[in-house]
Amino acid sequence: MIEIKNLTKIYPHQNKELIALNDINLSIAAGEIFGIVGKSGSGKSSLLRCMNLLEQPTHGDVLIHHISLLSLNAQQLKKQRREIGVIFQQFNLLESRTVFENIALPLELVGVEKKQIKQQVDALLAWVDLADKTNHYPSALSGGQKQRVAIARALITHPKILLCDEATSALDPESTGVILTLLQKINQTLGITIVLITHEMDVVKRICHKLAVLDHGVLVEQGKVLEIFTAPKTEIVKRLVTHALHLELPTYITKRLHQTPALGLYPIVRLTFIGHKADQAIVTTLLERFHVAANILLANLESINETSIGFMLCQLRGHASSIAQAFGFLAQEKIKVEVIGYE
Amino acid sequence: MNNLTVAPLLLATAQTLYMVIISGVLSIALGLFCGLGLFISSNGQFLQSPILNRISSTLINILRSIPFIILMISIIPLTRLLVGTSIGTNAAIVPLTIAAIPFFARVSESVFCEIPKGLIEAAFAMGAHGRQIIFKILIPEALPGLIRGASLTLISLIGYSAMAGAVGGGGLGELAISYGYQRFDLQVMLETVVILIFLVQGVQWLFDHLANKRHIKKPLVVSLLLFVLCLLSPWLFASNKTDAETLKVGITTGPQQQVMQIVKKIAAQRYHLNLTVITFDDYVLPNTALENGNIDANIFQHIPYLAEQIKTRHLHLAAIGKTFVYPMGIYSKTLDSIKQLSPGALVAMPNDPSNEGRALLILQKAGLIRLKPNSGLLVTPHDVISNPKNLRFKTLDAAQLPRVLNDAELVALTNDYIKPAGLSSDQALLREGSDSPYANVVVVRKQDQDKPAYKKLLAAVQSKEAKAETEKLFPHGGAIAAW
Repeated sequence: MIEIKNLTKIYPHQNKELIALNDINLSIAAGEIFGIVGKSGSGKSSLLRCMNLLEQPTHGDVLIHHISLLSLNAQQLKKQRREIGVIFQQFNLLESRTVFENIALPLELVGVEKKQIKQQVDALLAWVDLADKTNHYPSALSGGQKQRVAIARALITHPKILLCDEATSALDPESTGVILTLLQKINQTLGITIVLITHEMDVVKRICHKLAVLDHGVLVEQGKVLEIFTAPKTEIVKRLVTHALHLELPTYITKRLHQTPALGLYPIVRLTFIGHKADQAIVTTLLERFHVAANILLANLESINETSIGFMLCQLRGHASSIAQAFGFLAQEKIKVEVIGYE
Repeated sequence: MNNLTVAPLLLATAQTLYMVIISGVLSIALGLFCGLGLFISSNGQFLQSPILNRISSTLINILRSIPFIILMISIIPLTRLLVGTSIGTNAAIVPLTIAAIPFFARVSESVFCEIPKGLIEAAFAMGAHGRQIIFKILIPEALPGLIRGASLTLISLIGYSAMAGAVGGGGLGELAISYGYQRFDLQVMLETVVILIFLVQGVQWLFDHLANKRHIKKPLVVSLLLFVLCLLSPWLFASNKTDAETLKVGITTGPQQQVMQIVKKIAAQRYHLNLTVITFDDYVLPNTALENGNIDANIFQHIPYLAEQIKTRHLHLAAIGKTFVYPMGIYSKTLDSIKQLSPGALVAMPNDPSNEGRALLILQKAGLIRLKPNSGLLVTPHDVISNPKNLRFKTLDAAQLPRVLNDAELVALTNDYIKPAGLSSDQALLREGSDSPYANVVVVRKQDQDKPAYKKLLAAVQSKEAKAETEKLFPHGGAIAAW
């Protein structure tokens, strides 16, 4: 659906060059919800803007349906842009227009007749559950409602792709939930490919199928969300995941932690259970079979793409040999074990 | 002192509205165009053009930094090109418009700058093109701000239009200046100021109201209708003209305005001659307008002033007859006789060259000073060669002089300012006699001086009715017929 090839974006900046994107290669399949994560300044906004050529790449190419955007003339580009809906963090609704008129705008631009506009807009308003706000002005709406109007406006031209630029970052947790559910519904019932950029791993965890992580203009990791969450490769992504899963140890523990084993110290480990493994009574088994007591510090059950994943941080207490046996058992059970330190 | 009926007040209000509406609509439309151009050509916008942007921005700054009165005078050639004349209400519209365009351009530019950049980006993402961005996004979103800016523009136009009197444009401001500032008629000044306040308040209220509403179509139609009505008004409200000859006569603000009403009546009744009286606020433009052919005659100056103007400005003008001598006098609030004059006394006198000389000549005649021999009429304090009383001289704007009677021991007043100062001509300590060379004259273009219409004009000016009116206005020998 969307292919990004060797994309580089350089901004001139006070006689120097600022490399916003450095040789990015990405491939987004039709029907996916694809998350692009990065801190502010990581280049994720530039990347998104290159996908409808609001930003001109310095090198490289952007292909949609195997057609290079750079090869299109102005007229063709306008037509292509109508196939790509965009929603923004700040909603970008026109204050001078009502909800109805905002949603009708893209159709007005191409000269659709009034009767047809009314039909289409009314239908879509009902679909995003805003039928009662038809004649309200944006200033009278909540953030979540504004974003729903923006989504309706983006969908009115029946796009194949929806680009979301920090679409939930300005919203409260409840509205965020509503919008994410709506995006999921759009993806599932309309089959629209969604690319969303965010700085919140939580958003990615909740609805994305695939994920790419950007750092200082470089693509550091990409893959299925489940894989990246359970087996992050780079330090940056590990930190992001740990934070998103609320698996950070309290500082009073990290302070006392030793990095190497020693007499009288017991290991603190992170256990990751994927799928049905999350349902097993591991703690009991460890105690009964290996006489190893698992002292639970933190535990968390997550669901990523409908797969449940359990995380547990615990200290394993027992004879050194018993602990070694327990490690063997956990590996055998395909439970991922990471030693964080010794205490 | 209230000699003003409702009619001139209504006329002045109509003139102000006429000037403000026409120049307002034009400058808002053209200013919006410029402001939009500035915005979309600015850095980061879709018609980015740094050079064009900088040039137009500089041009706007230049226009904005020129004081209005200077702008008005310096664009006279353009004004004549556009409206065919450099005097009158229409001539005031050109500089008003040109002064207000850059103002509204800046206002609208800043309103456009406040539109979130994301809105424009969102529209581009929808596949909009430039014209759609302007008409679907920029203007509708900027509308409340543009309407507030328009009210600012109209209110400053009402302020600027007060200066229209300088080119004979009339209007409320001119009325307030001529009656209030120059003739000390407090009531008329208050009336005009109150009307101006209501006008400003009305505009502010109306536009605030409009800015809060989102629909602009009706107000737009109404203002365009008003604009068209104003454009047509010279025809709609034109007085039922006879086929009699018409002369345009320029005068300056002051009691002459009343005398001219009598002259006008006499000319029409007795000589079948229509006079259009155009009132100026200053002493330079009536001659310029006459030289240019925008008026046919003027009556406001005395012979020495005319001679000096002809010489320095190379004018082709000639006097066809005398009117009155308005003797200048030296007055005082503190002294009863010139003999009480103390050494080092301050003498205030008018700052225009001819009246300055005139005051010095009176002092010389009284033996108080001695001037360089053969130095003519245009003498200055530098020409004083003997000053036994060590008098100090201070020159001021003529209209300011009545206000300094408490601060200067002697004040030289021309005739127009005796009454406003609360004095009468016979209270002068020193006064010009009937031998004064400063008789006022009727002035026309040299090549036209033999036209019969001017004989009629002169006859009306020198009629006994006009003489009686003048003597009534300038009692106690304040005006001496010079023919």
